[in-house]
Amino acid sequence: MADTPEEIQKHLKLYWKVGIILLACTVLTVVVAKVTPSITVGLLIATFKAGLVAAIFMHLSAEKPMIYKIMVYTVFFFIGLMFLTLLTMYDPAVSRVVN
Amino acid sequence: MQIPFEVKPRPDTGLWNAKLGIWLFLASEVMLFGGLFSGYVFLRLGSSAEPDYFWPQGTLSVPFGFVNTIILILSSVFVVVAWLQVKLGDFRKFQIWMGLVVLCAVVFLINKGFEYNAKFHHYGIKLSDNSIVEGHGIDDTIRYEGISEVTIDVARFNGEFLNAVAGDSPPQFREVVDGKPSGEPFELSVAAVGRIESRINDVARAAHLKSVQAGKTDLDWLPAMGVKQLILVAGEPFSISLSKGSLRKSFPDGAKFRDQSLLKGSISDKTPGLFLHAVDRIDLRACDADTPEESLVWKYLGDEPPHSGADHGHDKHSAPQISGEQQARQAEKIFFDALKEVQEKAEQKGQEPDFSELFNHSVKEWENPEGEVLSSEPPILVPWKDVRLYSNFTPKWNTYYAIYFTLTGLHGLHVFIGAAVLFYFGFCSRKFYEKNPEHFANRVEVGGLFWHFVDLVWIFLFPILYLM
Repeated sequence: MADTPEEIQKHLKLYWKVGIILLACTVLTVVVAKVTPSITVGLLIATFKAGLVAAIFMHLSAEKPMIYKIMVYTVFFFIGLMFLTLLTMYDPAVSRVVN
Repeated sequence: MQIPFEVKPRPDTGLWNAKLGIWLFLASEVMLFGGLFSGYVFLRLGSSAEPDYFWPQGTLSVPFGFVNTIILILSSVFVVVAWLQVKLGDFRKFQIWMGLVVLCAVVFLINKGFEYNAKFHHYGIKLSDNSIVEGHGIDDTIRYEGISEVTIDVARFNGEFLNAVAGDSPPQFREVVDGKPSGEPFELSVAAVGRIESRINDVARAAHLKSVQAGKTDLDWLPAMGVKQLILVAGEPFSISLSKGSLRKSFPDGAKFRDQSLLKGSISDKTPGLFLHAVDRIDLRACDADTPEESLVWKYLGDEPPHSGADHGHDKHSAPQISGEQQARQAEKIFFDALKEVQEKAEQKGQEPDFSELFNHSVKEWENPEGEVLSSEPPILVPWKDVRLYSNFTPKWNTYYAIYFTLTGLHGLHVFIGAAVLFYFGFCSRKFYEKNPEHFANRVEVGGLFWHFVDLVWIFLFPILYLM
């Protein structure tokens, strides 16, 4: 993160722009949900918004390698958590109820 | 002692201490919320496989959620702008932006408070055929009459049923010994039970001691050998009147309190069932009836309790001028007109009708194809035998509210803690800033990173809880 006043002013403008994009995406999420109640589209927009917050506001776009290492492990285990529960779809007890 | 790398980064990692610390902490937070999101996915997918449980949809206010999302996004921008003001050396402006962040947090939490309050005053009833009605203004008063026998658990008795006794004079009781009333009548209290317990135990202890002396047993007297239950009969049959929710269990011929006191009596005709003053939603998705028309909902919708003078003053949904029965028929018309519309549309498109949305239907307001907005909020009186479950919108009502309150409650706690930390930086840390502005800027950055994470979690919470 640069520290000169000029660069700080530049970042200031970027943060406001990102803020406006986030607000616009929020409106878009609501509109899309009204038109088509698709979980996928809603989550895609949310992921894009989260990506912007992480990359710009949390400075992940220009961080040190150590932070990336921490994040790689975190994302790996987070994805593992999600798939762990999805595996229950093939649980024999549930299949029996459906059948 | 000077702690190294508080301001300048460590040469090998390129990070100062607090930055490494906050990212490790945020990684653990991702796993914490990840586990809960994963739980949400599990519950939601599981609900479609469960024959009698369907995922509630559209029960949260989108405008509330939308406003809170906007507030958190703005606060995220404000916090990063505040941090830049520290970098620019303008503490005054930093305070202003930080003040705005804290203000956003307060507004967010107030909004959340309103939303929670609405849920605590919204009720649902699951009927015995698995149909569901939801609405406002519940009356779960139940009255038992002709109570003459009471069984109490000596160890747990706390006298709670005595508070529900109807009438001015407290009932007089007598002990039952060998199946017959015995002793003088007395007024029941925790102290009176204690006295009876001591007396019975003294006799039993003396008898036991005799057995020990006679060599019949070598076991010492144990507290577990003492009296456990007392059966009492009332001099005059009495009545109790209370909220059914405060009972541990209710039966047609008796009531069990949380302290295990069991009272035998019959349910009064004055309280034949559970009354909901204004039904705003009917959900027949899990209904066991062969056709929606045969659901128990239509049988009981419009019924009102005999004591119609009940005080519903607390309920904002005041009764309209038409009768409960008329409102019920209007609600029925709304429901089945909507059903017809879905069927006709499906026929036109040559598709199978999708009833999933319709059977989770709001009768509060519906716009028919002619553009006419119809509404009805009829009362319902469900006989006790047909009440499978009732509750306000709390985790007890369904797994949706269990995960909703867990996720949003934990998130709200993060908002509160984050706002407290940022408030401290903004308004209690001027000396710290003057002593070492660079170190202070690092601290603010760490606080800001936490705040962005809080925003990031809400970005996912909003669509999955409010929109899907």
